[in-house]
Amino acid sequence: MAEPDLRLHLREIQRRATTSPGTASRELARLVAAGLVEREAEGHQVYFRATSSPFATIVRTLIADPSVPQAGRPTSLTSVSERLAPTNSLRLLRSDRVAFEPVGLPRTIQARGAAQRWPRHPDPMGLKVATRLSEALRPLYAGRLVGTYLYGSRARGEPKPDADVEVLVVLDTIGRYGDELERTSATCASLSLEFGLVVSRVFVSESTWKNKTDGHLLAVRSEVVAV
Amino acid sequence: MRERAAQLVDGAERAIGSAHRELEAGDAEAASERACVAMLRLAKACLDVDGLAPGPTQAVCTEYGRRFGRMYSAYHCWLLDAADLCKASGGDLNLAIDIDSVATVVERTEIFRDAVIRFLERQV
Repeated sequence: MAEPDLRLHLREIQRRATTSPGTASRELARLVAAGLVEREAEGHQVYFRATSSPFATIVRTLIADPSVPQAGRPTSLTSVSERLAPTNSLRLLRSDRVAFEPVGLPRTIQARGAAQRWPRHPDPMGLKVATRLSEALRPLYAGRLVGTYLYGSRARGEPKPDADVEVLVVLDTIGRYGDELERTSATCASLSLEFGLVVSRVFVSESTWKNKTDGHLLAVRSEVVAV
Repeated sequence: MRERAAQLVDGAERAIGSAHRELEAGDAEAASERACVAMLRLAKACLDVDGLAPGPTQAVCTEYGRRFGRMYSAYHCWLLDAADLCKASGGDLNLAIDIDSVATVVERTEIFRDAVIRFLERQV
């Protein structure tokens, strides 16, 4: 917060704050939701930096000002985001509950909160490929499959021509992640060859999907399209 | 072996070494990222034979699939798996990935490396 020009990767922030990745991610999500920090995705990496909003400037001043009593000065990621409660944190929790709705919903039904954020016209190719993958996964997983969702730029309807088709697969539980990759490997490779693009999948357990409030998973929840 | 392909194989070798060190340190995220980098460099080395030099991850995976996906389907699968494991454990999604799954990907990267070296030597 004290260095507005500094852009840091999640892991670097986690190291500096000497906290766990989960905690750093959760607190950063709150700061992003409050408009104090902005998130920039670059390829597979996500960077965070302090915004230049008036509120962020006030917080920055409080951190830097030695005359502010220690007890009243936000010193860590957690203390800054805790000070935003109940307003912003509660708002975040409320939006969380809205975002859980796509789990298990039939095709084309989307998270209500997401529809307000941008006009939703999922990429037809993305939907077609994700639907094919979903159909192939059903017999593989039977009762274990909780939901299949298209996410990323194709779900938002703003794909580059060579964008991956990103599919999020929610399973009841996940033991060894590699087993799920192996189980679906040939299907994804075959679809990738058929459509001449990359079909990418990630697996999330039902409990993580419902309970994890990390920055990116939160963003993914708000943009997913059930297939 | 062409110079660029040799450089890519060397780079992949270094990435595999880093992946092993990260595995020993118990850092699944870093190890899977290094393994993915190694797989991509090896795929690029294969594509270099045809004078192709795709940049972004998805372009490398697509081109490799187009050129080798039907002939060497297992390696194509492993390349996609490595990229997806990296995506899941990396900064974007930051999901908890078991170290054993990452170790498997690193092992496969070494098998792929040996196959790529044999393939490139046959091209001379």
